[in-house]
Amino acid sequence: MSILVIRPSRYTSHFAYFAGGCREPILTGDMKPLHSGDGDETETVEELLHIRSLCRKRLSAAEPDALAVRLTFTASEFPKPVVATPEVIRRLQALVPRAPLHLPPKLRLIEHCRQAFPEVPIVLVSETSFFSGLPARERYYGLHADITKSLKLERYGFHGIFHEWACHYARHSIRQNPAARILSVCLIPQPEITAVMRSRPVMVTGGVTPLEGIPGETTCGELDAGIVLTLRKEMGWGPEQINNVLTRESGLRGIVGRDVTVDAIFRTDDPDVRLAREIIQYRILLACGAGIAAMGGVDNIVFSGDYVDVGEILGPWLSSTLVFKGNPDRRIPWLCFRESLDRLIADSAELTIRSHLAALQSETEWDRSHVASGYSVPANV
Amino acid sequence: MNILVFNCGSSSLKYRVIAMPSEVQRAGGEAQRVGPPTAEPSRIVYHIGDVNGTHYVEMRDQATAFEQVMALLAKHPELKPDVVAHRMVHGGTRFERYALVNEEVIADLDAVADLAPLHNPPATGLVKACRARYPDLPQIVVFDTAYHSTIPDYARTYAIPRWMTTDMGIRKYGFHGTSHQYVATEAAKFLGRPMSEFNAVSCHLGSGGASLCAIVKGRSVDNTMGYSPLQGLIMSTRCGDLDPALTLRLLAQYNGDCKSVERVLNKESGVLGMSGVSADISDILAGIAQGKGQFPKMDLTAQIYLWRIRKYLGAYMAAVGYADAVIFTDTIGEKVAPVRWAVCADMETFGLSIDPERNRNPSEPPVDVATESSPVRILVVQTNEELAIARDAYSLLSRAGSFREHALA
Repeated sequence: MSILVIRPSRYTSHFAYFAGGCREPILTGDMKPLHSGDGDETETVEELLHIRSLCRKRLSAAEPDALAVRLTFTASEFPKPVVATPEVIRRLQALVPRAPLHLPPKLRLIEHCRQAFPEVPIVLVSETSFFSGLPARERYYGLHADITKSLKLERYGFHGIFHEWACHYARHSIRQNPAARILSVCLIPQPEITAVMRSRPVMVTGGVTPLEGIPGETTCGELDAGIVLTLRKEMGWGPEQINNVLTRESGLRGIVGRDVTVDAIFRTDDPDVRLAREIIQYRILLACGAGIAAMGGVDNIVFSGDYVDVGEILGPWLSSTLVFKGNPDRRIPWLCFRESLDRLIADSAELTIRSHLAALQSETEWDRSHVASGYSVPANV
Repeated sequence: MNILVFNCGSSSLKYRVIAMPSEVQRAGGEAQRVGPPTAEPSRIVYHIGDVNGTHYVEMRDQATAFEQVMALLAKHPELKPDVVAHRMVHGGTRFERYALVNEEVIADLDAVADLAPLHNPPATGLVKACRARYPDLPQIVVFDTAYHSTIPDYARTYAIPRWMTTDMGIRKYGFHGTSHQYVATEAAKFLGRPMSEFNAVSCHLGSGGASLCAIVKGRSVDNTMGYSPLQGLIMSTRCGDLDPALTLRLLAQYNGDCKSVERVLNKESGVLGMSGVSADISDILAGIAQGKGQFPKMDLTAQIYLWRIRKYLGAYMAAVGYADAVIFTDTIGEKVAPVRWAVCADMETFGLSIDPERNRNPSEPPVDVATESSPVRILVVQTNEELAIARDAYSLLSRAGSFREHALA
């Protein structure tokens, strides 16, 4: 099945085109960023038409079988990827008050896709879907019940696509154990850790927004609420200004004083980045400990994400550090899941389309492992 | 030597007269409902030796409470203090462990008042009142943040621009240090381990504030509270950990008014805010046990409260590595068995195995409620912050022979 993946963002939108049976894209590129307001977006439609013509050139004038649009936030509305039917669009529109800056441009993009590819089904693949079953004890904060309810303040987790597929891979790679307790460490510019039992996440470091949790390349991660109030009082900054500092000037950039990647801090002896590395490593250790407590144990650690190779450094370290009295010889097995986000989105879309068709034809549901069978098992397991 | 220890709360004043070095508690009590009039009258509940009593008297502020406590003690010449020691919650970057009070120290105390707005100002007011009334009486302040001065940089540094850490002093300080240090010392003694080799996770679960402390070789290496006492566990009326964006959202909601957001996060959140019934988790657990669990808010409150402690216990077990013990202390930690059970059950991975019967009916603390075979011991230890403060004060005085001159400088 040929799938055109589109990952829209505020900075640069990205696309990748996968031909049926290919793990690597036959076409990739960037698009102009989406407007956050109501600007003229005829350019976006023209760009999509241009991409369409490129796709057709590559595959004998054929249209893609499906478009897969990645969404970073859909709250808990869709537990799985969905085909963008009018009903789904209505439900997305109802979520706009919860993400007023984020969702409207995505909704417009979906409409532009429909104009540029009128005959092609569009599958929406959301990063928060995986966390829709997060238990209430993990989901809610210690705030007044009325505030939680009126402002709809819930924890989500923001890298569900990597986590879901990495955990699936780990379960199937190691002794085919569907009940395995897995710590999934997603190594990206804003790392995230989740603990998954029987395919269900029970703990995650992300919060109401991706700002909470492990510090990122420019994001602060966990922070005492008193600090936000001190910045307001002592600096006289408003919420917007504080948000800007905590999302763009903090994290590794804040600690080191210059731009540095998560990948780079683990691959250099530069004393300037030592503290940053220790902070990230320590926060990862704490999150793993919390995840193990949440699951009452752990069977595997799986690494994924753009910086998955850092897992080759963190894996042995975590395995030898997460050792406790009573189980001194036990080493937690770890593995790296090296698929790209684009490919996973395409896989998610393909499964969705197939099960959609199967449901229409009253056939049995497609098994995810059919798609996953192309992955190789790493040597260290 | 009699050391008079004051532990100043926002609306209470606890005191003890402790003879050192014998550590005999000769008198003690608590001035309750200090401040504006409430539904019940202000009073001092006290004991002198084995005699208990209650003295009803109006106390509009901590200074008045202090005068009344001193008047009570003055009736017993043998209780005359040789030195006064105060618990101070936040020492900021200006203080390490403890300080002998002089004018310079008082100026520094004023400078760190805002770091713990509920606790530091009344305690500093008390120091000033004491100095004005008894200028010849040496005073020592012992900081709750002191025990955490050994937290390494990687655990105490927030991932924010460096100038905020260096210029504004924004970093993790940690709290309840006096209590964590005291119970860790007692637990190490109980297990016959030298403090310098003792590794543990200490759970100070109070009816008000609560925090966990990771201890390696007797020293604090992390604490769930952070820059302020707001971070970490869910407390009686405090929220604990929050997504920073959530605090910003509340600021926007209250038109940038910090005081309103502070009030919401400090006084209207936590167990009280979530349950809408009580600020005391033991009330919530008792309600559930009595079959009131059908009230979803009570059930959810208990789940969220316990889950947070359990996650932090796991995190700190990972930070400590080979822990000798997990210690429970203060009102909830010592007296509420279901909390210890919910936190420690099914934690064999960490070497923890709790004995249900020992936990349900523990003997007088210090007591071990782990199973015989548990590699990590689970201890219930009664905290005694006042004794810990007296020990610190005595240790300082023993080392500073000329303290009186120094104090009067």
